Amino acid sequence: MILKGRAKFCGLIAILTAFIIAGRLFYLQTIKHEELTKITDNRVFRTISQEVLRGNFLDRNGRILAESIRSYSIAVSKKYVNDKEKTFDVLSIALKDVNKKKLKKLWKDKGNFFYVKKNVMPDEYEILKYAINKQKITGIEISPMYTRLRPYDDMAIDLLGYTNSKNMGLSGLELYYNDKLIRKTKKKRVAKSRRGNIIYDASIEKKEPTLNIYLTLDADMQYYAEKILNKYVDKNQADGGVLIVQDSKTAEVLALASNPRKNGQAMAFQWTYEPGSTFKAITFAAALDTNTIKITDSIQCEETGKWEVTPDVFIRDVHKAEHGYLTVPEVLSDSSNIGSGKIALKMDTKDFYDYIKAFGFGIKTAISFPAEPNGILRNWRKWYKIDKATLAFGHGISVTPIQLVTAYTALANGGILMQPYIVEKITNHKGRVIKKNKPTKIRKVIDSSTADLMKILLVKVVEGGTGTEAKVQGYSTAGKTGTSEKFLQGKYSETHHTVSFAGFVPVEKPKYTILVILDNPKTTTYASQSASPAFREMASAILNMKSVPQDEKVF
Amino acid sequence: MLILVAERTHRTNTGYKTAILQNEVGAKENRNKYLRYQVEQLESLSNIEPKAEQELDLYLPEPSKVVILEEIN
Repeated sequence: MILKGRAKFCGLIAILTAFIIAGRLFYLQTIKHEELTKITDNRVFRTISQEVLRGNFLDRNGRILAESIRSYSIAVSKKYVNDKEKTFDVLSIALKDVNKKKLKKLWKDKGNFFYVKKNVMPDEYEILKYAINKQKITGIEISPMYTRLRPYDDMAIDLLGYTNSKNMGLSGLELYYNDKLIRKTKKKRVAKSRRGNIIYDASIEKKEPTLNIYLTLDADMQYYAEKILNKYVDKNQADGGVLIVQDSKTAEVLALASNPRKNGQAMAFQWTYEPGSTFKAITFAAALDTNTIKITDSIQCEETGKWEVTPDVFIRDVHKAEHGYLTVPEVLSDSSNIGSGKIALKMDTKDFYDYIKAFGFGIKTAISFPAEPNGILRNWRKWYKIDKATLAFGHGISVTPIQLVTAYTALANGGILMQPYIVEKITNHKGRVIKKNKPTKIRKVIDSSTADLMKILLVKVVEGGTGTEAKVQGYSTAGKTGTSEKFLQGKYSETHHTVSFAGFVPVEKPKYTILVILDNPKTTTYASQSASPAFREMASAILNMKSVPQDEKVF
Repeated sequence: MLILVAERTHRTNTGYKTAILQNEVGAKENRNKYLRYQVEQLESLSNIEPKAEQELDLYLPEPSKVVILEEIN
C-alpha cells in the first residue's frame, strides 16, 4: 500500500517534471522563439560589407582605359615574426623593389608594425603567398586594397581624372560618373566561427552590378593626338595646346589631347580662348545664309592695309597685306580682318548674334564633364560698331575648343549642329547595355546649300590661302587658320598669341573634324607655320590608320 | 541528436570549403583581370610603335605613299 503510494508520488513528480520541461520548451520555442533566434544569430552571423570593384572605362573598341583590381598591402608585425632572416629572404625575393637592405632599415627605424609595400599586384602576391606557406613563416600581414590601373599609363588622364585610395572619383570623368562606377557597397550575411573565419554565406543581398563606361574615344587615335600635340607644343615652344578629333557626322569625340596634361582637367572642355580667324567661317556662314553677301561679291579691303572703323579706331590685316578689292572667297582665304569686319557690319546685328548662338557659342555643350564653362558672348544690345567688326574675326568672344570644333562639324555636316558626346554607352558587368547615347541633332543652323558654299570657301583656304600647310596629300581638305592676340592684364598682348587650325577631311564626305590649338608659341605667331602642319599630321595619321580611301589623285 | 550533430558538422565543413573556393575564384578572377591589363599594355601603340621604329625600322607611311582602295562588295 505504502509502495503504491510512493509509486504514485514518484509518478506524479515525473509527470509534473515532464510538464515543467514541456512548458519551458513551449515557452522557449514558441513564445521566446524570435528573441532567442535573434541572440543566436547575432553571435553566429555577421553582416559584412564587401567592396564592389569600381567599374571600368573602355574606349569605343572595348579596350580598357582604366580598371580596378584587388591589390595588396604587405606589412610586417615584428612581434609575430618567427624567423627574421627567412622573412627578409621571402619578402626580397617575392616583391619587386624590395631588398634586404631596405628591410633591415625599416626593421631598425620603425616600430613593431611597418608597411613594406603597397599596391602589390596579384602576380607578386601569389609568389609571396606560396613562399610564406612553404617556409612556414609568420609575422607578414597581407591586407587587400584596390588599385586603379591604366594600361596606357597617363593617356587621356586629363579626361579620365583620378580616384583616391578609397575608390572615390576625384576629378574628370571618374568624378562625373562616380555614382555609376562605384555603386553601393555589397552586403553579405555570413556565418562566422569562434575565430572569426567565414564559414558560409548565409544570404547575399541583391548584388548591385558594377557599371562599365564605354567612351567614344579611339585609343589609337588618342595616342596619335597626344603624340602629335606634344611634338608641336615642343617644336614651337608653346605654353600648351589642345587637339580634338570629332566624327564629322555624329560629333562624337574620337580623341582629345591637352598639353599640359593635368589629371581631370580637359582643356578641350574647360579652357576658353579667343578663336581669332577660325571664327571667320562662322561669320561667313551667317552672312551667306542671310544673303548679306554672295560668293561673287567683292569687298574693299583697303589698299593701306588698315581700316578706320570709328574715328581713331583701326582694324588691320594681320598679314600686312594691302589688298584693295577682294572677292568673298579671297577675303576668307587671305584671312582679311578688314573684309570680314565689313561683312559683319553689313549684317543685321541681332541676326549675327543669333547665328553665333545657333552655332553653339556662349552656352555649355553639355558634354558630361565637370566644370564646363559657357564661354563669353556678350548680348548683341551691348555691342558697339567696333565690337561687331572685331567679332567677325574672333576677337571679343571667348569659346571653348569643343564649341569651336562642334561648330565646324556643323559646317561639314550640311549645316546641322549635333550634340557632342564622349560616352558611347554604359553597360553592366554582364555586358548588357544600360544606356546608349545616340547621335542627336540639336538644330539646323544654316541651309545645306550654304554649308556647301562654306566647304568651297574653306577648301580654297587650304588650296591657295593661309592654310596650305594643312593640306593632306590625296585628300580634299577644308579648314581655316586662326591667330589671336591674348588678352592679358586688361589689354591685347602683341607678344602672346593663340594659334589654331580647324578643318575637316575628306571634304566630299567628311569623316573627321580636327581642331589644333597652340597656346603662345614662341617660334612663330602664324598658325600656318605651326597649327596647320599639326592638323595635317593628325589627319594623315588617322586617315591612314582607318584606311579612308583617297578622294584625290595621289600620283 | 546524432543526426543533428552530423548535419551541423557537415554544414560547417561545406561552409569552410565554399568560402575557400570562393576566395580562390576571386583570386583567379583578379589575376585574370591583371593579365588582361598586361595584354592591353603590350598591345598599345605606345608600346608597339617605338619597337617597330627602333627594332624593325618600320614607320608610319606618308599618305602620298599609300593608295587605299575602296572595298566594293
